[in-house]
Amino acid sequence: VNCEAMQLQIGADPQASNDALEAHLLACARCTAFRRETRALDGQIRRALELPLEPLRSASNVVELRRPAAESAQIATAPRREGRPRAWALAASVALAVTIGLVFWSTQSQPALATAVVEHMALEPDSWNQHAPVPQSALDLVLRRSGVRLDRATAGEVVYAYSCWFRGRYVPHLVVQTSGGPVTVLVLRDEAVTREQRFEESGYTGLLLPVQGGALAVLAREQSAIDAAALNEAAQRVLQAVDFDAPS
Amino acid sequence: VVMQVLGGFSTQEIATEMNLTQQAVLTRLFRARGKLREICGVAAAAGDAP
Repeated sequence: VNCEAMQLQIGADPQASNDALEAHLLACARCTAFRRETRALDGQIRRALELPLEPLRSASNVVELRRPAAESAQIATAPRREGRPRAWALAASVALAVTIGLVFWSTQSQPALATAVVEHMALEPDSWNQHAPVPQSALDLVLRRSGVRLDRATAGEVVYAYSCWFRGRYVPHLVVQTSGGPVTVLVLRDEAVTREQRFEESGYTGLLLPVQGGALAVLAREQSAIDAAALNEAAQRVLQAVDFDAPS
Repeated sequence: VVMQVLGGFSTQEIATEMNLTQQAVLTRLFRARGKLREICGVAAAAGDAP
């Protein structure tokens, strides 16, 4: 059973489950991530339908106005297909609205960066429970993909490193062990932050720091022993350790 | 996708409703989600964590 077949199953029905699929997912991080992401996409589709109806209707009108007049006339006079369920015609209309709505929604309602960072934490709860140092080769792979260098001796012990899809790009998602507990770092080379921002949200406390035209997100769980000073200290260490000039 | 995500239809039910084979429905759903990924600016996760 290969990943292509598994991802075809997941892409067609991300909620489906069977023994072969689950066994494959236990051993395959790629397909596990693909299912998680596909399920998240389905969540976006549902949320898109919660948009106010008026913008969707307006957008549909724009599409209709752009349709060539002859084509519109042809559609208007075309005989209704016999035997086609009315419910499906409605579903097709909704599908169009969903598509347009997703475009509208994705361009108009990008979540704030801090919120997006916190939401990403929920996708990888196990990242907080790692203790073994990440092999240097694995860390290099994650960093190189994003064009980032990290002075490990300065940053601290990296116990988790993945290249994660975040707001349209792959970014290094690291966890660094400190004396007070684990601290998560997202290295956001393509996110502009103009000044240091502190946030507390959904059980996390964090910092957004501007660095070399990009940003660092550094956060800890509120229930941990890491207070604001310790978090700031950890953030400063990572800030000194990171370098965005590496070729991606 | 609407029938599946919002309507809760199984792929077999969708196939029956649309007079398609179940395999055809699976393929269309896979492709539709691929297009929605593009629209939403979401890339395929193959090879990476989310």
